Amino acid sequence: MNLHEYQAKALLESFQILIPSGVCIQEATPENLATVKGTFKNHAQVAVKAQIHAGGRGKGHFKENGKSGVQLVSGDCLEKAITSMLHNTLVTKQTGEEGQKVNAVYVTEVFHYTKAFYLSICIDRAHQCPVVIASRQGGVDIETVAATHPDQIIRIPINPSIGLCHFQARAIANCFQLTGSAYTHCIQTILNLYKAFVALDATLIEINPLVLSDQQQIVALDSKVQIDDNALFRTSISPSLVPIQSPTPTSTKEAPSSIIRLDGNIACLSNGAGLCMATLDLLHQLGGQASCFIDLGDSASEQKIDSILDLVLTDSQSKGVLINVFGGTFPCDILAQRLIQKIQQHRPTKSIQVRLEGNKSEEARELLKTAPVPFMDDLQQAIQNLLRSVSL
Amino acid sequence: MSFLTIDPQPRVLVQGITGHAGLLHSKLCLEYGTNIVAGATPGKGGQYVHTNIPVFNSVAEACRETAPTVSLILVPAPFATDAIYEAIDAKIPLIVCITEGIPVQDMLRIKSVLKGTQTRLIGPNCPGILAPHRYKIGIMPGAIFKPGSVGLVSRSGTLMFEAAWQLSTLGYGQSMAIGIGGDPINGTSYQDVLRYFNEDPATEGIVLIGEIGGISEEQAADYIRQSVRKPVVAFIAGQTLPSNQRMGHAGAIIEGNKGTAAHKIETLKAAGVYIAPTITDIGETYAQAIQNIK
Repeated sequence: MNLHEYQAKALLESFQILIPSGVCIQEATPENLATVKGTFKNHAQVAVKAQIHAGGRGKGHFKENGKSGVQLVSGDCLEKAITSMLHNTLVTKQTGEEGQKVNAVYVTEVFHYTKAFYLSICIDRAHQCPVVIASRQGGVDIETVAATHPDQIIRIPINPSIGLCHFQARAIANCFQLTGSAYTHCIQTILNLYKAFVALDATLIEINPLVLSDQQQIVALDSKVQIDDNALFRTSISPSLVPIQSPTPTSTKEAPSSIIRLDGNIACLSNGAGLCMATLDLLHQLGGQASCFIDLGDSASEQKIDSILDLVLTDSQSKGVLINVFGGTFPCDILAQRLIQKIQQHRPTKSIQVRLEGNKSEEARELLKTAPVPFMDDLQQAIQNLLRSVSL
Repeated sequence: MSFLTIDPQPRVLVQGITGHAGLLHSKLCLEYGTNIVAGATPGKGGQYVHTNIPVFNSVAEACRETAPTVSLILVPAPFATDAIYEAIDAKIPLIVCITEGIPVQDMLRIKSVLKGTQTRLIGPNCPGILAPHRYKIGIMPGAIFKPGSVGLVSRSGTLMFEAAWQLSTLGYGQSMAIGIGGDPINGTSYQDVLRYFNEDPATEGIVLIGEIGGISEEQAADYIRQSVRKPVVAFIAGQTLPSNQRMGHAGAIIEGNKGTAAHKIETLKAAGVYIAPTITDIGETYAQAIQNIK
C-alpha cells in the first residue's frame, strides 16, 4: 500500500522525525482555507503540493489548466493554487498520459536549509535483508547519481534479527559529513527511521531530500512510504491513513478478486498470478489485446465466480472472453456450471472461449457439451478463434 | 545436499490440520499416499482427524510422540510466522509452508534464524512438493503428475500445474516437482533446487518456471552456467506486461534494469538454457532439449 506524502509525514512525525509544518485539505471550503491561511500567516510563501502516488509532480502539469503539481505561492494566491489542483488530473512522467486525479493537496512551509541528502530504507530481495541507501547528493534524481557517481552512494545491509546498529547510523552521518549537534541529531533520526520501518511493516521509506536546517537539525522534506499489504492485519495505522485514491492501473477492490483494467477488447479470466500473466502474454503474442485480466485465485466461491462472470459477460469494452483455468484446488466443473447459468441469464453476444484443465476438468467438459461455448483443449487455438471473431 | 532425500516416504506433520484448508488438503495428501503421522493445532489436541491421525496441541508434543521429518504448514497468514518458528524450534528437518500472505519483514527474520539451524523451509505462498506416485506434501492436483526424470521447479503454482500436465501428456514424467513460492523472500531458492536436481541421479533434465520481478531467475542463470550439467528448459511469465511501476528510486538503485522478462530470458539463454517462448510450448521445448543431448 502506497501512502500519500501527507500521510507518510504524519506517520514519520509519530516516530520523532522532524518534518516541515503542513496542512492537508481535501475540499476547498471557506473553513479549510481559513485554517491554512491562519497556519501560514507569518510565511511570505508556501508550497502547495498535489497528493498522488507518483513522482515528478513539480515538472508535471494538470490536464485542465496546465499548472504544475507543486506550486510556490504567496498568501494571496493560495486559494487559486489549491483550486487549480483539487479534483483535477495531474500528468507526470510517472503517471502515464491518463494522469492521476488529485483528491487532496498538502500545503507546507517553504523550508530553508543548508544541505540536502538522500536517505532510504528498502528490502534487498537478492541479499534478503533491509538495506539503507544514503547519499550526500540529495534533492536530485538519485538514479542519475547512482549511474554517474556510484562512489557518492552508500548501501548498508541490515541484519533483520539485530536491526540497525549505532555504528551503521554513524557511518551514514559521516557520509553526510556532519559534525557537532547535527551529527548527533542525524544519528537519532536514522535510528528512529529504522524503528518506523520495522514498526510500520514498511517495504520502502524514502526521504529525498533529507535536509540540514539553519538550526543544525535534520528534517524530512519529502517522503515516500510503502506499507506491506500482507502486514495490514497487524499494523497500527489508522484507517484515516488508508489512501483515498488508488494508483493506476486500477485494481478494483470492491470486486472480490483482483481485476486489472487494460486497453484492449478481450477479457482474460485465469487463476493464479503466473497463469494470468502467461495467458495474457500468449494473447498479446498472437496479436490480441486484453481489456482486463482477472485472477480467480485458487479457492473461488460460487458467489465470487458469479460476480466475476456478471462483470465480464456484461462488460461493454470486452468483445471477447478468454477463460483459461488450471484447477489445483479450484473446481473446473463449478466454473462450467456457473458459466452456463450466466450465459443463459445475460445472453451475451460476445465470443467466449473456454479452456479448463486440472481438478474436475472432465466433469466440466461433459457439462459444456450441451452449452453454446466450446470446450477447447488447445489454448493457442482458443485464442485464434477469439481473435477471428472479434475482428469480424 | 540431500534435503529432499531425507526419507523415501517422509513422516509428515500437518500444522493447522483442523482448519478448513488443513482438513481438505491433509485428506487429499493422504489419498495420494503421503504418510501423515500427526496434526498440530493449538487448543485442539487430543482428537483424531481422518479416522486415525492424532492431533496435538504443539509441534513439540507431536514430535515427541510421532517423530515427523516434514511439517506441512496450512495455517492462516496471521499465525503462519509463529507456526514456522515453532517447527524450527522443534528441529524438524523440512518445513513446507503453503500459506500466502506472510509479511515480508517476518520472512527476513525467519531467513536469518534459519541460517543457524539444520532446518530447510520451502515456501511460503507455494503449492508444495510432490514426488509422483510416492508422496504429495502440498496442494497440487495429484493426477497430472507422472513418475519420470524431469525435475520441475516453479515460483507460480498454476504454472507448475500447467508445465507438469504438458510434460506428463508428452510422456515426460517428473522425478520431483517443487514450488518455491511467489513471495519476494522465500525459504528455498532456485539455486537450492537446481543443486539438488543436478546431483539427483533420478533427474535427467530440469524445467524452471519463472516470472517477472526480483532477480532470482538471474541468480539461477548464474548457477546454471557455472554448475548445472543437465539440460534446463525455462519459461518466463509476464513478457508482455508493462514493467512494474515503481514508487521511489531505492528499488532501481538495488536492482537496476534486472527483473524484466527480457533480461531474465537473455540471461538464461546466455547460460545455455532452452527457452519456451510461450506457455503452450513448455512440454515441446523440453522434448527438443532432451532429444538434443541424446
